[in-house]
Amino acid sequence: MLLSPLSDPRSGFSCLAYGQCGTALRRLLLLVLLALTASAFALSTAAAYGAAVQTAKKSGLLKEDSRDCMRCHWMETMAYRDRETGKIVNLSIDRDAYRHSVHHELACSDCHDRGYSHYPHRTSSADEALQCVECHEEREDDGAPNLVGLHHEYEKSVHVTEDVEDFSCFSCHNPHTFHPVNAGESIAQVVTETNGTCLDCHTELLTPVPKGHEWLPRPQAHWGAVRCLDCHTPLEGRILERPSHNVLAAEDSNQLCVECHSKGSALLSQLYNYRTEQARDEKGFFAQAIYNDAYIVGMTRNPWMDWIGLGVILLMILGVAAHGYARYRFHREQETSK
Amino acid sequence: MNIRSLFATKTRRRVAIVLAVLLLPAVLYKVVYPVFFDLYTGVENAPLTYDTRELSEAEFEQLALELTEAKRRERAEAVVTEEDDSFAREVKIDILMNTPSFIEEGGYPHIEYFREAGIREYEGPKTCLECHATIDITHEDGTVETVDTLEDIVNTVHFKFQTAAGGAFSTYGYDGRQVNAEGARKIPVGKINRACGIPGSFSWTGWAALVASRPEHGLDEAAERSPVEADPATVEGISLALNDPGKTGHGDGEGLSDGVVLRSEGCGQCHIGGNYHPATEKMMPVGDVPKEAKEGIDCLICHAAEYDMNQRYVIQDKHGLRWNQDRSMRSALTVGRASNENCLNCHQHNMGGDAYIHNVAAKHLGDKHQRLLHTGAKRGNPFSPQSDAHAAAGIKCTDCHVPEGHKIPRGRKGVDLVASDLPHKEVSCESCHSQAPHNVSEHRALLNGHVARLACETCHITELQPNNVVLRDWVHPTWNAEEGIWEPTDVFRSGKPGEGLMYLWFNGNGTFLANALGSNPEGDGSYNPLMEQIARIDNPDVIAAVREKARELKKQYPDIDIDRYVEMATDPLSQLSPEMLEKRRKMVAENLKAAMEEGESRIYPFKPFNAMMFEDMNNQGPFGAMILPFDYATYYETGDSRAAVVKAIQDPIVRRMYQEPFKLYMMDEFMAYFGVDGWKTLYPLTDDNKLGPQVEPHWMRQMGTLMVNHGIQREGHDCKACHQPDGLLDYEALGYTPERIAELTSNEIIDEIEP
Repeated sequence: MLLSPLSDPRSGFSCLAYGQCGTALRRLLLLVLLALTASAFALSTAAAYGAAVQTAKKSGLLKEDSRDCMRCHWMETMAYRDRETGKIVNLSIDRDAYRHSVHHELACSDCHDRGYSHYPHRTSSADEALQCVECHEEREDDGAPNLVGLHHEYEKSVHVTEDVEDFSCFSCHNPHTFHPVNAGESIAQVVTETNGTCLDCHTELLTPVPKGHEWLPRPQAHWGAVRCLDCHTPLEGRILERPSHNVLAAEDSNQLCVECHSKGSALLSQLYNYRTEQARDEKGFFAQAIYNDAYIVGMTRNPWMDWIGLGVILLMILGVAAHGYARYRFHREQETSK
Repeated sequence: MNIRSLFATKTRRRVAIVLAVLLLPAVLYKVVYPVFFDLYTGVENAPLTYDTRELSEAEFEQLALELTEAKRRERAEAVVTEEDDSFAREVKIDILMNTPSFIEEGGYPHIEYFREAGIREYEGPKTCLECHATIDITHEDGTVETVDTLEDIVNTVHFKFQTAAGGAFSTYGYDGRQVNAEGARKIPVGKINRACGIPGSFSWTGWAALVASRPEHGLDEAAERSPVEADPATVEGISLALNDPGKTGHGDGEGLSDGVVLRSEGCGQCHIGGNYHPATEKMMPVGDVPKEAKEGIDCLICHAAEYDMNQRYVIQDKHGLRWNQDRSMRSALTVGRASNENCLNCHQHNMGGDAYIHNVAAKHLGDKHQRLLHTGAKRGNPFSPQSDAHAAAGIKCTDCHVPEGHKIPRGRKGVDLVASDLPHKEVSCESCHSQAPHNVSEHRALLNGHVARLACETCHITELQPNNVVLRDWVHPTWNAEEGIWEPTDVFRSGKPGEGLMYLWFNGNGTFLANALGSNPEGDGSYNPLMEQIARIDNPDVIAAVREKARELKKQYPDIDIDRYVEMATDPLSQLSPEMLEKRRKMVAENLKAAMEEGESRIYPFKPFNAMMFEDMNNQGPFGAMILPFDYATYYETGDSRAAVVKAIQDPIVRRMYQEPFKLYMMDEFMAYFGVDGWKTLYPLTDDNKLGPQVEPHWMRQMGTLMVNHGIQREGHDCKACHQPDGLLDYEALGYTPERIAELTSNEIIDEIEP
């Protein structure tokens, strides 16, 4: 049981793109913490978040007061159009997504205040300020990861320095669905999900010639292949496990093609680190280590190359066979002539 | 070179033989097949003539002036509506009428086109096609295609009333197969051959009829009249009039006895073909409708702003009965894109109904042989500015039903087996209103939440027109003294929820007899409308009303057993033998479960309907038997419902239906969907022209459910309409668990909202 969180690919240890897991050091600490609390494991509702998947499946939504909330908030279409922005604000809680989120053990009232206990809700309740960083600090003992470092990065990001109105953690992250990248997700899926967060707001980038990216050939192909964050976060001080929250302004971001389109690109190492980890999980360490950058017929890349390669191999075999046969015939003839 | 020399040499002879072999199939197909088809089916095709004539230059200009000024005046009136004082209004209209820019804008562009092209007579499609031989169609994906206009229109459902296209139906047979699914043997299905008790006939047997009505101005005689008693002299008089078209050629009804008025009736009144029969040729996998039929297409009923519905009446010529149409230059000069008024020329009939006060077409019943009004409404949900929020907002029919050429989508949710030209094209509230349609109420988020389980129509169609027909008895007609005809007896009419409007789970699938399919996504599995809601009426008010009507009918038809009558009408399953009932239960559970649980179901409102008709009990199954059509003239004139069936089933098409080729081509497959094993070809008429013993009067074994989507009210039902113990929604029948029912019917939250 103690070791199982490590072998579970859905635990926080292989997470990357969403950036809620700690550094290598934190991993170690967590492991120690886990070992220490192992005996109290089953009883503790404050199980480490990394091991959360392994704890009793009791969803926070089934806790008594949450059920009252969910009498209405289960409705998939519970939403309204904001009178100022004109955008649809979704108030529905997807029960399945919540169950798989990192916060799944929390009851509604653990975060939302008493003003919501009756319908119609007190209007002041709508003004409640929920703070991710503070909350995670308060609950550090319960295994909530510390977000202070991340917050420092975020403070430097263009979203803060440009004073984007009403920008907060929730602008990008939905606490009701938030979860680490699932094991088995392809790079393309990771890219789509991560970029989806950006493109939800930056819809102007979905046009054929996106503003500020005029220099970039085939922009939509790029949106599907690399994360926005790969160019829009500083190269210095990158950690492999998660992208930085210091989102850079256009002028500070990478605009050099070769930074990506070269072997061992530093910009992409973070993204590909995930692939390597994932591939190791799937194919085993040795296979991955040996084949890593090799071209293996039938395994990697271009099917045309596969056929040409196979053809070359076949021709070579034929050539060798023909040569051998010719030599054999020649030899026999010489024997008989003798 | 003479003909003989063509075959002079061997080579030439060979070439001639090869040519003949190549040409033979074409000749067979183009010449022999149509003749054979007409003989086999007994349908008539002949050149169609209409009263049209060429206008002189002066007449043309006069007409152009009148139309332009009338239109200008209409526009001017629309501008000055703000002005309260009528005199000032008139003055302002007058000023606008003479304002140069106002004169330049608007008007009818085709007046100028016709003037330039020298067109002074409108000769139907021929005239239109001179310029519009091809049209550009914009598909949903934005691609543009150029198509032959005539080909486009004759292959629409508006012309052929059916389709055999795969995937065109979200309808499932009671045998569990999707109708005409990909890979299945395709049969033509649609309005042309769909069994339904609302029209009481098929489009062949009920295409066009001239009915000799005897309107009474006093009502005293009515009660004494016996249904089978008709004055033979009068009938002869009618036939004399019909067979002698008179000098106008259109059966004016000269020679009719006093007090007899000819009236028009039949399916053809709303269809764009002008022939003696529907597009029968299109029912076959090969062949096409003849040129004559295509020349009879009524372009103007959909495209002319000034189309005169008074020209729509039945005319008689030496080939038979057909529907006249407005081919006047007055109408032709006003053509343009189809407007709401154009669509409603026909479609208000099936929405608001003929008796609906704002049905414009029903106020123009014909210059002669006036069309019979159908006072019982098919759906009772009008589309008009007075009764529908979208019509009031000036939304056009084609804003939601976005056409591609002449093909018009009816939406992906079709329960009633009407063929669809663009079955996969969406027509829905959400495509405009999004999933968060409520913006005003303080409880808007809560209201929007309901969209997950309720269709918009469920709340926003609060009721249907009161003359909406729920139960119609064709077997026991009632004398309508005012119209002077025998009509089917509407045993129960209502537009109220719980009476003429019911609520069912619906995922867009339906059965072959128009029963909505769906399932409760959070239910306990008990939802089973085909055994419960739509197979019985348990509202005591409705039962009492049916009993009252049965008592009334008994005065006319002493054989009626009132208790049994009420039981059959309100508990149609009581007509099934125990074995049939068991078979039904099994078929519902085994064959329809998958179609019910597919996709996402929501609660929709439906108009329930059932009819008593004569059925061929040789071809019966657990859901009903083949219904037999009525001949309208016989029915309306004599009130003898049996005689009307006898007459109708003598139609060659019905005879063919009961023969082997038709059985194999269509009927076996059709009946399999119907829940009947194989089509029995025993013709239901005996040698002495009596109905066979297999013909029995019955109600269908369950009610059909017609989807209602128009007549949208801005303000829908309030919360308490449903969230209380005796609300509009029967949660138990809808398959909710007891715990959920307790939640849904509790007042605790509602009291906060609606104290």
